[in-house]
Amino acid sequence: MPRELATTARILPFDRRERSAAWWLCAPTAVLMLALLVVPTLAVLALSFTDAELGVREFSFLGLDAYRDLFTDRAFLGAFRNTAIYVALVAPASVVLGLVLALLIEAEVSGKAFFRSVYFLPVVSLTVAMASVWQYLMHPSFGPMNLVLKAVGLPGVNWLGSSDNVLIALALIGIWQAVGFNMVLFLAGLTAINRDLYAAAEMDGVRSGWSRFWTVTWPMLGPTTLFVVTITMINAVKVFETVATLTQGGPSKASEVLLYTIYKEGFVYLHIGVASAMAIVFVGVLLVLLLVQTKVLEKQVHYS
Amino acid sequence: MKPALVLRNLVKSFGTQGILNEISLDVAPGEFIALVGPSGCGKSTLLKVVAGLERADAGDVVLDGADVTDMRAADRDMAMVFQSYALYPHLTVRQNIALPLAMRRLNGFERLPLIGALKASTRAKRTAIMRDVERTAEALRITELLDRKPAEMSGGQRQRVALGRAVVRRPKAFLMDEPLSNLDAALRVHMRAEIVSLHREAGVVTLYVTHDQEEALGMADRVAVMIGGKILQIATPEAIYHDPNHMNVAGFIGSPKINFLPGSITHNGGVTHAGRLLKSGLNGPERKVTLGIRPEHLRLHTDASQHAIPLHLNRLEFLGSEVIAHLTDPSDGSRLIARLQPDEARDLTHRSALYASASSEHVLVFESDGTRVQASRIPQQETASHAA
Amino acid sequence: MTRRTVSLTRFVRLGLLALGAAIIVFPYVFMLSASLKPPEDVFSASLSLWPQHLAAYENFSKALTRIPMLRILFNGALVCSVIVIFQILFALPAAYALAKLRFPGRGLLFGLVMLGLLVPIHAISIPLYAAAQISGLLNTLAVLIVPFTLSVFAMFLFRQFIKAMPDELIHAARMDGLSESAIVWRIILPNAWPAASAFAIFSVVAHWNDLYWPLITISKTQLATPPLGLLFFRSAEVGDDYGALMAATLIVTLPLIVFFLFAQRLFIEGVTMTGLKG
Repeated sequence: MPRELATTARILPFDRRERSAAWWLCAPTAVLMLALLVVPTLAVLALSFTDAELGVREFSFLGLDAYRDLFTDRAFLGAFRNTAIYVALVAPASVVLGLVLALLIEAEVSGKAFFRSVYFLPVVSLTVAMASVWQYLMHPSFGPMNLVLKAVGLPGVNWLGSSDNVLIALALIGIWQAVGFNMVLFLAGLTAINRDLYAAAEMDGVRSGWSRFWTVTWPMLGPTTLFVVTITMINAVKVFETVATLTQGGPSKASEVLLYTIYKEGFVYLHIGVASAMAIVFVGVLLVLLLVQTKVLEKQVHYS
Repeated sequence: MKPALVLRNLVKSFGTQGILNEISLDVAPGEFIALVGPSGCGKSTLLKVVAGLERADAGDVVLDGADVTDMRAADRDMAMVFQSYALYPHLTVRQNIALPLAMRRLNGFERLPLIGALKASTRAKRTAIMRDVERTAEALRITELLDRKPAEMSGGQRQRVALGRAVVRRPKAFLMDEPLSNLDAALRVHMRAEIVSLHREAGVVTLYVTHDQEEALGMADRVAVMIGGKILQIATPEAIYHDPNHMNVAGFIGSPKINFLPGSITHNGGVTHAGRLLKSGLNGPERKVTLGIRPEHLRLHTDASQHAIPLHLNRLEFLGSEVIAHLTDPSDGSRLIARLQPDEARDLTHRSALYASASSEHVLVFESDGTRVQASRIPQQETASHAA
Repeated sequence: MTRRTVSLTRFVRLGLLALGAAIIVFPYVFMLSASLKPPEDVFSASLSLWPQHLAAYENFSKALTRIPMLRILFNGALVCSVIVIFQILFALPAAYALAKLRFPGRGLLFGLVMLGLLVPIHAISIPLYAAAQISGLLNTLAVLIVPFTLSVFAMFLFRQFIKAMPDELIHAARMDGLSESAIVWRIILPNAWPAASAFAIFSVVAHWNDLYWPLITISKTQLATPPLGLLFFRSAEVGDDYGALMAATLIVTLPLIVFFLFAQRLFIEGVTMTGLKG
């Protein structure tokens, strides 16, 4: 029996049916959202204003002092700084490399699928596992990386054991892992560019590959580039597995990053109040990154 | 007069599939040639070869006396208008139209956004470019759109910008690849006139690709019908329509499609269909042929005569200014179409058995291989078994 | 522009790509090589890939026995698959409602989805952990699965995808008498297959890799997932037994790589799609 014959504005049985069906469909999700998202978020927010500890009954309400203490805590600021350095090392390099690789692979006629898969391997490899492999590679005395350096006459580097180098070492691993993912995203963006634009550019007198890139490719990749940059930065801020596996924040807190600090404060030292405040700041950082992306998107990157 | 554009024996295949099959064409200066054919016949490929965006496997392209076959597209000084307009989405209309001029008149350094403007000579060049852009925009009536981006405009406006980009350069030839197929019917008719007037004003060769035969007939000085990678016929629109040299040309041009009937040439040069004599004066042996009669040339009436074909009326379609009659030929069950004036049709409504006549010159005769039989012309193949 | 011969540009391009590929593959090569070497070979600081003495048996058996490796791999596979099934089970109907149905509270629900996208699981791990501890769910497989059954990313992705599906499809189904729930599972799911498989891949890779949550909720080796298991292995081994460690990493990394090699297009299309919709 057809039910599509609503002709007036009053709520007909059809609308009621649609509404109740929708509620039933959403009910499980709504419950989960409440239990797994809303309540925990509020809880973290509440905890962040306290000095609660797991296992200790009493706690006091600190209010905004909790955050003030946090921003004067040298260890936390250190974690902030380390994470920023890590992101500054990983993000630009993996985005640029991803783009370069995508351009090279796009232009390549026959080896496309092969190279695409090879570069994508790190993305599907277990992070903890590959971190362990890199630990072996970066071993100061018998790790292949130093062996190769010594073979060409350069001195070996104390990759993970020196507080000056550890962030660079971790960044190398991060870049190695992220490049393939970015490459695939850029490839998708490149193939979506209307081929006629390149033909039009040729007719207009755009001759060199360099001009072609700046006249057509780069502007048309705008949305993709923005997306890749944002995703890369967000993933870099969330770095955890490599630190937890290889350095545990050391040597001397040189590789202590935000998530690792949150983990230690909350689950090793059990200071869940402090950890919650840190978590809120962490979310704040991510929020800022996402907001910047949205703003830039609205302003100039959006063409139809 | 020397031709402005010469295509000589162009051949191209993609893998094992042949796309262009020895295409040759001479275009006189200032001529508008419409390249028309069904989808997949190779006309877009031909255009790209002429532009230099694709290379032919063999053959030459000569523009204004110079062999450009080995030149890349950017050096050939031709302009192209694309079906998808291919406007740079991130640039304004002004910048879109200015780009071809900037690429040609400014070098890499001068093109840089801020630094380039430091030299006075560069600034002068840029001002000259902008003047040309504004002049072109005025001619195309898009001046108020100059600071908009393509996404903010309608299809028709975008097409005019694309035309502006092509016209501003004053190239040696215009190449257009189905530029109007993405527009709605009313706009298309209007833009056709604009394109033709742009062409006249520029005074250079235009090669216009379309699958719409009406468009081709209406715009071109000469129409080239391309089917299966070959140019079957190139002639004025009237000649293409009334004097096609091949069945495929006759079948492709004209809407509604031409009626094809089986027929024979008798031993005394008469042309018959189902025993009715429709035409006479042809030469050659007795043989089977195909007759072509355009719907508007079929006159329907009720007088049975030796020269009229009996037909059965299925249905009349009233289209306002004319009436389409759907008919069946009882001799072989095939469907035919006739175009009538409304008052002609009024007398026919209640009759289902009719007769159709056509005057002799409107009966086109085609050999079994598709070539046209002209009056007093002997067909190429004379088989021994058909002794006269 | 259409020369078929190997030009200089192509040579340089292939060269660069090959160089990059070598750098990418370099860890895997040495992982494999070290997994076959006994400790003396590893310490010998030579770049040779083939070991002097083949110690594959020792390394791999240590990897498989020091910790219950196979059990751990099984845990990972089980947890990831169950998570994906529940994620789609809960997200798809809600996404359909968000995309195609009108009801009060739709805006609120979508707002919560956006909120969920902003808040990473790490941030709310503390209260979730506390809840798990109180309800005695620590050190169970359930605690590894339950918090992830809600996937706002799935809801977002499916909603975008379903929104693009023509309304007529659903109208036709309704006229055929299907209930809304039937529409979700019989009409939407088959047609949303690209989005669903893309999401499934994304989810499996993410959860297979997750160290944070298992680290804080699981302490029994028996219940570990591969990342945690590997961490346990690292602390269980004596000294710098890199050979055994490389063997362990090889075993743990192999499943997903094999899966990837067989379903390459699926993976890459999946990443592409999540990227385009994101």
